[in-house]
Amino acid sequence: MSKQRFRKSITKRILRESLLIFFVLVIIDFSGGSILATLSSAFETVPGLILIIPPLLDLRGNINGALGARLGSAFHLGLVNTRNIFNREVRENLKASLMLSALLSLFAGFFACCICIVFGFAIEPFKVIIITFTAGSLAGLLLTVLTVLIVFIAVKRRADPDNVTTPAIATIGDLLTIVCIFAVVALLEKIW
Amino acid sequence: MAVYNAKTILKESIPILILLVIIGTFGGFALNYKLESFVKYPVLLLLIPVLNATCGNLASLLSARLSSALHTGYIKPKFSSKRLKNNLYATVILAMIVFAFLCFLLLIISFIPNLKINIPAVKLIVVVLGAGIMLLIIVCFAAIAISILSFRRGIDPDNTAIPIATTIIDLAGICSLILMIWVVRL
Repeated sequence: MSKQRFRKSITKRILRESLLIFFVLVIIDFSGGSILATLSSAFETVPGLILIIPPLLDLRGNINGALGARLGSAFHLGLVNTRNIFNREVRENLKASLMLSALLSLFAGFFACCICIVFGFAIEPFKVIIITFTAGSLAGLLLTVLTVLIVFIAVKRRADPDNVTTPAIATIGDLLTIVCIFAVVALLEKIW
Repeated sequence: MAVYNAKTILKESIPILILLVIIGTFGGFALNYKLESFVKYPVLLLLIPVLNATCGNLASLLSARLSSALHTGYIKPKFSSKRLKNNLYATVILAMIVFAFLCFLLLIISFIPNLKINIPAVKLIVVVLGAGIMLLIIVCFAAIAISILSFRRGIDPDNTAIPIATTIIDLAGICSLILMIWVVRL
């Protein structure tokens, strides 16, 4: 095969196999982004809130991505099977993932406050910490349940969970976290 | 005796996650710096998850392909390899098509009147394409450099390239967006 044709064949293959999924992902990210855009007034009324958006989004994908990867390995190792869903291995994994979500969300809130105070930016420490902790833990809880569900469905359908879980969690994670932040902010505005 | 233990998982993941939160907060800090623009033009907020996720996916695709190719010996760990360049071209072409689709979506929503996007469509597209191309260059460079350098040192690029590249993109995505906002004076 000539160099020119070879180059074309790689490009063609990548385009054929990835383009559709990229389009779908862009549309899902667009919906997450639109919800974030509706929060813009909250960023004004709760100074410092915008600081915790990137770390919360990073956390979700990473905590639950790792959970999905561990559960996938557990299936391959034969530690878990579909008939025995909530055995000790899975319970320990769930416990760790939930604790990480809660602890790291709390840390993100505190760290944002520290940064703002050190650099002299306006911040409402109480509100920011409460919103971060509640939204982070809530999103963590929902996404953990979803991760287990995705892994089990993948196994039941005889697909390799390693190929499905991480991309699915990364995409759903962002959207779900933004929805949780939105919900908590809306709730706080009503009762505050 | 169970293989997994919550305590061990916590102990092993907390340091890296704390680092991630700190890096992420600096991204948030950069957003806070241009808060006025984001409050005035909420559509700019919409771009953050879209740009970061799209470029993160491109980085993952390129890194995953490169590390598989390095492991199988299809690509030699040299920066001048022809096969490496072919993979790079393919990624760039894919990226260009995805960016075009993104601009198309933005054009459509900018015609919806009650969304309050009071930015001229041309400016919006300049921001997206500018930030996107800047990020694409960083993505490709980071994915290739991390994969090849870690393979040369005997570290599995599967474990290093994707997490490092996506973390770089999360920070660089926000910075390039803010740079473009400054360039078009929004």
